[in-house]
Amino acid sequence: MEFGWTGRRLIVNLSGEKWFTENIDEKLLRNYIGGRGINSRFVLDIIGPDTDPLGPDNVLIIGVGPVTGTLSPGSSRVTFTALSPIVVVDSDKPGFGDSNMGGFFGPEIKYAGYDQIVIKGRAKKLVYLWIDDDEVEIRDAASLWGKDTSETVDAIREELDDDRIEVACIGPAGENLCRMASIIGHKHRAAGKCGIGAVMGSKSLKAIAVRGTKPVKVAHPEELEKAVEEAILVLQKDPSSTAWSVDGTPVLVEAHQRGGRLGTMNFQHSQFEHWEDISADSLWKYWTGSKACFSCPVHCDHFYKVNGSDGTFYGGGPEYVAVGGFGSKCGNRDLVSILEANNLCNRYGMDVLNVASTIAWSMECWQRGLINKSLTHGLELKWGDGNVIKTLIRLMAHREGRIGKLLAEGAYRAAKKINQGAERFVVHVRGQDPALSDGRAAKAWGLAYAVSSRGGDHLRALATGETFFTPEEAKRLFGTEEAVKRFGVKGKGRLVKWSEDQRAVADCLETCKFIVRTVLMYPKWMTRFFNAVTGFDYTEDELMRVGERVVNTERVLNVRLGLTRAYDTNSERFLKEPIKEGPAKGETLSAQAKMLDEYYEARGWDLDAGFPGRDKLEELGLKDLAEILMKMGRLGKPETGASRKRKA
Amino acid sequence: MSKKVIAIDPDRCTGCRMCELACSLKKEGVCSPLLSRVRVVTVEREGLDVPLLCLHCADPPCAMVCPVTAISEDGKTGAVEVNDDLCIGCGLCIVACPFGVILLDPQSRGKRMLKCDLCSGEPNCVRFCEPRALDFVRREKVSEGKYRKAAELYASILGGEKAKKGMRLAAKKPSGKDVSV
Repeated sequence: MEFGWTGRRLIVNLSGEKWFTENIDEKLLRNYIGGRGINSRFVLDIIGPDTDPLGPDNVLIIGVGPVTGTLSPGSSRVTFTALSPIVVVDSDKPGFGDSNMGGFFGPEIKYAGYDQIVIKGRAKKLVYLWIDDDEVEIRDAASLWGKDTSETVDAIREELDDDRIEVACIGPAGENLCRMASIIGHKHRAAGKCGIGAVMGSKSLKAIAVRGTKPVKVAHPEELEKAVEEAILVLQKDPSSTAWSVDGTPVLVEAHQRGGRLGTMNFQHSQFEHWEDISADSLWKYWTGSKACFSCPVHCDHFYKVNGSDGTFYGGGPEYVAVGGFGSKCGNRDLVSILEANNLCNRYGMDVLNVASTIAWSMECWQRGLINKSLTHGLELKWGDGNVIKTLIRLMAHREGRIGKLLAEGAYRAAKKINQGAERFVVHVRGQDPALSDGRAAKAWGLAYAVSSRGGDHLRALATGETFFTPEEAKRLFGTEEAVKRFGVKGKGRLVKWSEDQRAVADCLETCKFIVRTVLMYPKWMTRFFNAVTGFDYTEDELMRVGERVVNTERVLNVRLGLTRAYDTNSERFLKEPIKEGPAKGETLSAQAKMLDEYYEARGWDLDAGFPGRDKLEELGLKDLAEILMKMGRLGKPETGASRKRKA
Repeated sequence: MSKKVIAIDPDRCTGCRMCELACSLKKEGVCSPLLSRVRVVTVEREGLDVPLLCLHCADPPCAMVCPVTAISEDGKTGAVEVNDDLCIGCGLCIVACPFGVILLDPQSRGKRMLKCDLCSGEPNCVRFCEPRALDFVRREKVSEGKYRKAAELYASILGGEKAKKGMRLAAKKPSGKDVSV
């Protein structure tokens, strides 16, 4: 393991203010590669059904991949893993979660000499971690309390007198254990999902500052250069990747409006009358240019500068989930307020997706009279009011007032508190908002939301294959051309399984899914990058097998926490309410059960309970995990009993 | 035929730093921004990234101050190069360079200075610069990008286009309508 990896893990126990390093087992790296994979395997042994996600027994694991820090394209990613304070698997028991960030923080960890950092315990007072190559220090952060993420980065760089230090930190939202808190790197790169910032806050850990000087060794430099050069040429010829390079994810506002899947007013609608006001074309009024994460030729990010009513402000992004989230989803056409909301979320350290959907839900509750002025201190939660959106973000981040305290729990938990049927209007999968794209209008996406191992999420599968594979490829890979018809049902289970495996590989390499989103999604590309960097000679199948192993490991983890088939589901709105208008009019996810059956079958899991079976686990070399499920009486029996009957 | 130089256009730079990785990979066989001869500097409040590297001055101050005449121009490529065999590692060239683009090898493996030598006429940084913020062009072409951009600006003002967008992306902007995810 001379190339790519560092082979080292840093373990920090904040309770005892102690740290040490150890070698990572080579077998673990061979089987799980890195990043998300090694994190998921590691966390399996630490968290259980009785772990409190916001208690000292939870763990925060940070992992980078073998290609991180190299010329391999889009190799900037880093995964944060923990038991999630927002995802639920069974009667509100916490589920597994992780969150992924691009930017510059991941590579710096690699250059400091680590593949993984494990943070345990809870500090007695607010601290930050300073990693300077082999030197590690737990430093007092009392003066950083209450500072936003941008101020925190500046303060740490000043204190340590080095402006090239990379910092991942939480803002007030994380300190206040807002369940939608994110970890922010490089001021506007977010690990947003799964309330990961609240986990960091619960450990009284304000920031992780890293500076690394060690080079990453590459096994075959010339082959890596050749592969990257070819990849860039292929990306430049792909209209979809080029659109990403120019407009970034906000191009989806127009694409999804035209596709009839632009989540609007909390998914009561899927078309937004004022979509042009929030489109990428409108954003160019404020964008100064394209920006990239470390080592990325796609550069889908942007920098914006706005002369707003409260003075000039600037920032990075925004992404589609922020534009649509604070835009169409909240019925808001005021782009400046959307950019302000994006800035607030980055500064307070909050996930734009979960925050926007919680606000959208609260607005629907207002519309239906389920939330009134006594709860909001007079604030009227009217659709489309940018000032209300900004105010709610401030209140949630600081858990201020009755409404701030309520919404800081996220829509799913807030709905349970106010009751009166408000739960019906929460669009979620296992407590977490899935995405902004309407899952009813593209069935593979809908199915993918339901089965994602970290609760509502579109990136586990990122089922672009539904659009980009040809009918011939669909027939060959998934047995039917229907797999690439977005309203079709057949073949979706197999398509989602394939996509999840492929995306898991990207997460283990810590390569951005936006590099391998379309033309580079064929496994041969990641295989080339991986082999060139590490000197391994994995076949495409072996690499895809790693992805499958990761998905199964996370499934075992979730099943142990209480997950059953009953929780692999979208919420009522997607299942039963037909889309009201537009090109996808009349669509629902009523075929979810059918697609789930096909998905479980493709996975070798039990059709009734959704538990992995012994054959599949042993085939993946996961006999130990089969034993764990066996002992719990939760090992799947895909080939017997009711499962088989259902198939027949 | 005039010699080629690396032209820098910070306006196009996305800050991906692939140039740094390509440089260190070719020169040192590893990926390490610290071993790169090119540096991308971010000016945060402006959202601007500026790639900096040796400009191979016509009258290089580094060569003038070098006490052992280790720095000279390569006759073929026109690159101002450091001869490692002669270099004593005093660092006077760093002091003299107006742009700070001569660097001391951070791993202090002997006396080497890190400085761009145009990769013998095939600069690897340019090869991997997707947005073409770095371009390897003949000397008389260095200003071309800039005056063409100015012309585009005039054209877009006179034509009533949205200036900023038209300028930056006229060549690359696809319709966007065939994008389905």
